[in-house]
Amino acid sequence: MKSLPKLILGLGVILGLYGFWSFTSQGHTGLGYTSYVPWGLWVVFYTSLVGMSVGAFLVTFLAYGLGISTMKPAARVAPVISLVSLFAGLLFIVLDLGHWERVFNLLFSLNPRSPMAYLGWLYLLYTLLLLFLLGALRGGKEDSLTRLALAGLVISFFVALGEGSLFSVLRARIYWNNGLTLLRYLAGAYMAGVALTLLLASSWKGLQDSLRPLSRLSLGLVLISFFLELIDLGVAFNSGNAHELEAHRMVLFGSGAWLFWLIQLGLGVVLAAALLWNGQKTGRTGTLGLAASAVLLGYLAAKFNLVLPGQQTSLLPGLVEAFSHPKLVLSYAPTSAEVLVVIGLLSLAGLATIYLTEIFTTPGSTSAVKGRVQA
Amino acid sequence: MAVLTAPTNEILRLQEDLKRALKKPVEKRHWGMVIDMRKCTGCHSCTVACIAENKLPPGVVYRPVIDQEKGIYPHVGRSFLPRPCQHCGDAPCVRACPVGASYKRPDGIVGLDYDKCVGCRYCIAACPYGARTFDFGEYYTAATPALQDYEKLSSFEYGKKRPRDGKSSPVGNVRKCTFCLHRLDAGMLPACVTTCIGHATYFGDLNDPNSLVAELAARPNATVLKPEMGTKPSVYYLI
Repeated sequence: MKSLPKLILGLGVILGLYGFWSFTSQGHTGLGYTSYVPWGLWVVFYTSLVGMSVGAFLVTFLAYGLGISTMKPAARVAPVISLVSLFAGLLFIVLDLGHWERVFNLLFSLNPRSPMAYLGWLYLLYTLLLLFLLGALRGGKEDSLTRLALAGLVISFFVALGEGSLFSVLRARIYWNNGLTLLRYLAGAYMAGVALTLLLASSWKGLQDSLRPLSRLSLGLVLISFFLELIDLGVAFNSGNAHELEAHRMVLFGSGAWLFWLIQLGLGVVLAAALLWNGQKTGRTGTLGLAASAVLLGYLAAKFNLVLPGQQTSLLPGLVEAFSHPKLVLSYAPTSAEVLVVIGLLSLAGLATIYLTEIFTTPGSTSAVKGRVQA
Repeated sequence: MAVLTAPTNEILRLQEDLKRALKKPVEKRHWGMVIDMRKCTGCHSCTVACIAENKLPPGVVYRPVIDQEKGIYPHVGRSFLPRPCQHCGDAPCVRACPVGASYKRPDGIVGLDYDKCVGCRYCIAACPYGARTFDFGEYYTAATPALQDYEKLSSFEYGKKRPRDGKSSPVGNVRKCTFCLHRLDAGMLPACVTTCIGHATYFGDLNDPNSLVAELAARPNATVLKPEMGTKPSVYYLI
């Protein structure tokens, strides 16, 4: 890959380092979240990236678990995407903890009633599986790849299930507290992971054989995701639940409505579906790259619209007005430190993806597997 | 004079109820609070007493008083709803906490282990009453030439001295009302109870049928916040 993208990503990392320095010098006061909106931008990216990781694993499973040969070129990099996305997502959440030095409590001091308690071990299991899978890929051990792909599908599915459950089990938050939240999370995760793989495949030589099946899969997942969004809206507007409606109205007609109409729906569904439809027929890499980018932007907007409005409705009327402090409000705006750290971590993830992709697509690196693909 | 002495006797009775409850094994008690909304004047002295007692930093509040206005002119009404932690029997925060830092004591108090809490704030998202706030590490005198010493004084929450140094717990932790557990252990009523000028807040052992709180909580006009959540709060409101 040419050096310009690496240079841009390198600059992004430097910006991120400045953001990190700013964050460490100010502490959590320098972040935009409040006691009434306790999860902000970093949680949005954490949950988005973990979802992408799980989604990218679907490509690995289709190639090595089900033996779909056209998916195999992309499946050489899909585990890389899974691993890097997972790490980036986890870095976001570790930074977001009030006491990150106690992060291992999430592994060794568990409350079995909490869905979050299982995630630490699931992440560890998933990471180990991805490392083994990459090792098997490098060594060209096709039999191991099949077994690992099957095991990985189950583990990654439970990771996504756990992530979605974080939101859907909270009875205090009516906006999240339903089974559809879980389904939307799963569909969104697979949609975004496949789109990210499509983006990489469209911009990397030697992976183009997978473009058409990836674009068809991506189109299907975009439509399924959109369908689930529509059902969720339909249920909400017919439920008559004031709190749930308040959150949905905020998404559809509030000050951030552009995020839903322009990005989530306009880019993420309408434009993405049109480009994917066109791209799966023509196979144009530029069109498919754009389509994948549109899907990813729509996915991020959907995650914003999931995480934030769920917290921005008052739990008790008048509570916010009862005690005045900037950290006791329902509004949320990310600070520059938060945004810069996002830029930095995404750039770092981008660089890691490029370097690892170079390794896993270098001729001879996965000779046995490639040999079978060509045969 | 009877009018003047009656409330005082209520406090004395609460004190006697407390002494009796403290003689029982901890698992035999069930601490509870009753707030008479008809008596609350909205003076916020409970909020202030709580802040002073627990040395709460800016942005951390355990007992805000919600000002509620109802009706349309000329038929309007105004009431005040103090909102401490509800110390739920089935506490969503305890269920949500991934590391078991939020826990339910045998006497009904929902506590928080500051040394275990990772600061993920999942319990804040899980609480239906908005009763938990995050300690961002702020100081009241941060923007002044010198940080005042009183800001570094130890909090006695959970009976442990914790000088405030800006980094160690409870900074970076979620915080919540403890029913003034450290005062209960010393045989004193919670700060919000003793400071209430309208004698609107009652505290005691709900398991003791002779206690004033048990008597008040059994009244037909006693209710809890958001009963539909099924959280079984230990705080009752007389409406």
